[in-house]
Amino acid sequence: MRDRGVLLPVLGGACALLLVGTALFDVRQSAASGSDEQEKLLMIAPAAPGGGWDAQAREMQNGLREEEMRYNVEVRNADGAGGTIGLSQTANREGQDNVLTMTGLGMVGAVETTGSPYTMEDSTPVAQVASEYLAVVVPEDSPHESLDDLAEDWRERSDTLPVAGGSMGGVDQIFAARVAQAMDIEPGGINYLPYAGGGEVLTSLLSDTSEVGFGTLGDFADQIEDDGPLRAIAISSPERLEGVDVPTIQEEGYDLEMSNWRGVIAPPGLTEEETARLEDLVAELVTTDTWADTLERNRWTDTYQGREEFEEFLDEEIEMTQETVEELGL
Amino acid sequence: MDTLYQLMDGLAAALTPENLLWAFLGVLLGTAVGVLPGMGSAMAVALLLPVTFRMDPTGAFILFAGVYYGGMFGGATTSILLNTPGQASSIATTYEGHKMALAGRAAQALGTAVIGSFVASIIGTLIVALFAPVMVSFALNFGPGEYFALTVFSFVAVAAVVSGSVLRGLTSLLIGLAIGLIGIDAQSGTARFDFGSATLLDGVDIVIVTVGLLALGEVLYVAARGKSAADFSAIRTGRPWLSRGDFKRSWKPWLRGTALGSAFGPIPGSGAEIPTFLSLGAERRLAARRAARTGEENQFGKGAIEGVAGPEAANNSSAAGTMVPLLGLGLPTSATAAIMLAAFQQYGLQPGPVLFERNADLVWTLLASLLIGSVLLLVINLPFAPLWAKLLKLPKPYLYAGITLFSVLAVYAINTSVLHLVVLIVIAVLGLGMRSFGLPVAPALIGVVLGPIAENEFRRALAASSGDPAILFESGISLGLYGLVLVAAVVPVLTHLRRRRKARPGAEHEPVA
Repeated sequence: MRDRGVLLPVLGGACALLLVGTALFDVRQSAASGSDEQEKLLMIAPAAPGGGWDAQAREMQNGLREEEMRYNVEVRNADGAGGTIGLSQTANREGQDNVLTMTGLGMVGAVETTGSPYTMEDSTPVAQVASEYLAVVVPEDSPHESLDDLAEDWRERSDTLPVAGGSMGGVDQIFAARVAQAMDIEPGGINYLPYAGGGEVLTSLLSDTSEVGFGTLGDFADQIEDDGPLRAIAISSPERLEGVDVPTIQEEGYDLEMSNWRGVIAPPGLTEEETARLEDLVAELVTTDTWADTLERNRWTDTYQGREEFEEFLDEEIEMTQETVEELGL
Repeated sequence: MDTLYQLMDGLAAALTPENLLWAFLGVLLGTAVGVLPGMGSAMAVALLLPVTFRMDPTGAFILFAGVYYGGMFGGATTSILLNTPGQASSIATTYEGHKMALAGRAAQALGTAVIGSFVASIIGTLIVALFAPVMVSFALNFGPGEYFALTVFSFVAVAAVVSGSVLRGLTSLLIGLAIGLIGIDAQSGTARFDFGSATLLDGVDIVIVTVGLLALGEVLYVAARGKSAADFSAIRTGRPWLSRGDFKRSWKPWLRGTALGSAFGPIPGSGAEIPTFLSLGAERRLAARRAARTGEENQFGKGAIEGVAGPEAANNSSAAGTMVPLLGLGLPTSATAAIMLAAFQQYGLQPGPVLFERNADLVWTLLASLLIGSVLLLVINLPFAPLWAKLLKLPKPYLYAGITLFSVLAVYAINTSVLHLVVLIVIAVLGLGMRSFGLPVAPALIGVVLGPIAENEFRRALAASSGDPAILFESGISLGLYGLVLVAAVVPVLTHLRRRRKARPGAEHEPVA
């Protein structure tokens, strides 16, 4: 009797171990040799599981597998300090030609605000893969119907009107600062309430803690639909987005166009040939059906840029971010 | 009644052999990652997400539900056996749970945790199914002022955890608050106590603090005391099952924990920790009152089963509660929920106010899958309880070596950062010091968890009102919570006075020297 009582749990335990073991093996599988499809590729997501860069890395991993381009892709989370922890891990892998790190405007901003010893210079830009546009949103019952309404109110009480967005120095705050600037409001003087994520910004707006929200469209997409609790009054894209009935900021007469772009970088010290190989891999991935599906599912816009174009774009973004961060006094 | 029929339809759709297999895998995997400290259910769900791209939505939901609930329970196993909570929501379980294990009642502690989790998941899920829309509008009444009131209330409620010297308890709390200050200040972006290191900019991860103070600190303390330390292998494990008496003492805490978890789970931002602490505090107070009334012994501090039953029920029902803002608003209140939101979107589900009308069948299937997940949680884990409990029979050197290995591995796994290991060792030495001077470590952990929430909400409230403190007392919710704080703070003082008055006549008989 006693033996049977122990046997079952032991069997169960063995099954569990086997299962976990297989899963771990699958992840850690090391097949560094062999070319192309079996080659190992490490993707560094400088965010925690569930974050934006984590989603980007896992989508790219999935795409490479689905399209039978690379089977041996490992996603490693290196979250912290706005992405600069991931950047430093990339910089320290000098010369490794099988590493792709997710990057974006948030990382560029974090380099400026955290005083990170590593900058974007310590990496090899590979490509821009997608963009999300940013939206200015208000609760459904807000008196602000347009950016003009908001500008009038905001100019009058810029130091008290509570506006909400993501963490300090992040993309949302940079966006809020640039909108304020376009309205001739001192960006350093606005009453910006930073939150940990899009979900919290939403609660802040719905509980009437803040009056205006700044964030990526995806954070609010479900809430700004027909009978949703929020209303978008402007979007930062250059033209109106398909299926999103919201005027652009430029349309409303303010000179601002901005995107929360996502790209990939590689460690520094790669040869021309090595970089070109990584670029080709990404270039091929973004043309596949799986990737098209990814873009649609995540509401990302295809803004692919090859290496040369991306490098130029990156330089401009860094310069603009430096200006904004300085004006914010961060 | 209509909702019940719909739930039945959902159950019918979800109950296929294939789905049961997914639920089984999910619970197993969830329990496994919950047992390993540092590997939360968020990580497991993130790893599984690409796998589910090819599954049908029902199967995917059931898998996630299994992982989510399994993770909540797995954390309890290590809390009870090894004093090492796998995640923040099982910290409250360690206090009485580990003491029970030391008293040879590990199997009973695990048993009450499993059944409590089961009861709480079932009731919590049913509450979500029946009242989600009402709960959403309640949760939205919480602005920063109300949050701050909630944290003040939590601080007072968990003060019950501090036993013995008030001064030592406060010292420990302040140590915890100080650790919580490390990192970038969320409101101003200023780096605090980062010692110039980028790793510390995000603060000290709660896993590092719990593993350092509780697990590794304990290992160092045992090592420092050498042979005089308690020997686990001498513990008799006794009967492996819950006795009738255990049941009698557990069922009320289960229900109370479930109520607390269901009430606070849906409030975005409060997380699963606050209800577990509230539950522990409530059980402790009730036990003290019961002891005073009936004269039976108060087992709190020595391994009271109520102190495990309550918090474990609370964390599972709050896990069900997080489904409320997720489904009703598309608002994820935990990392795991955030990834589940991504999964919803991939099936064209749009969480939000209209979800219940637009995708009713899928929503009911999801809720039904939560029910299935909790049944399997019970079926799989209850037989394991006595087996897990045998872990403590390992000879001490092997057991502590194992704990050390797992602790270090867990912390390294967070971010593959060597500096985190340095922080871990510093905190472990701090834990050793605190134990040597008789400082309880529990208040420090509470300080680390609640301190940053309280600070952020307080400053956010004042920022939103442009410095007018009236915002803190504006709403009925805040005033109600402060009222409870007053009651909680005044009642013990009154009883204390009454007891002293009673004691005075007796004092006259003492010989006057």
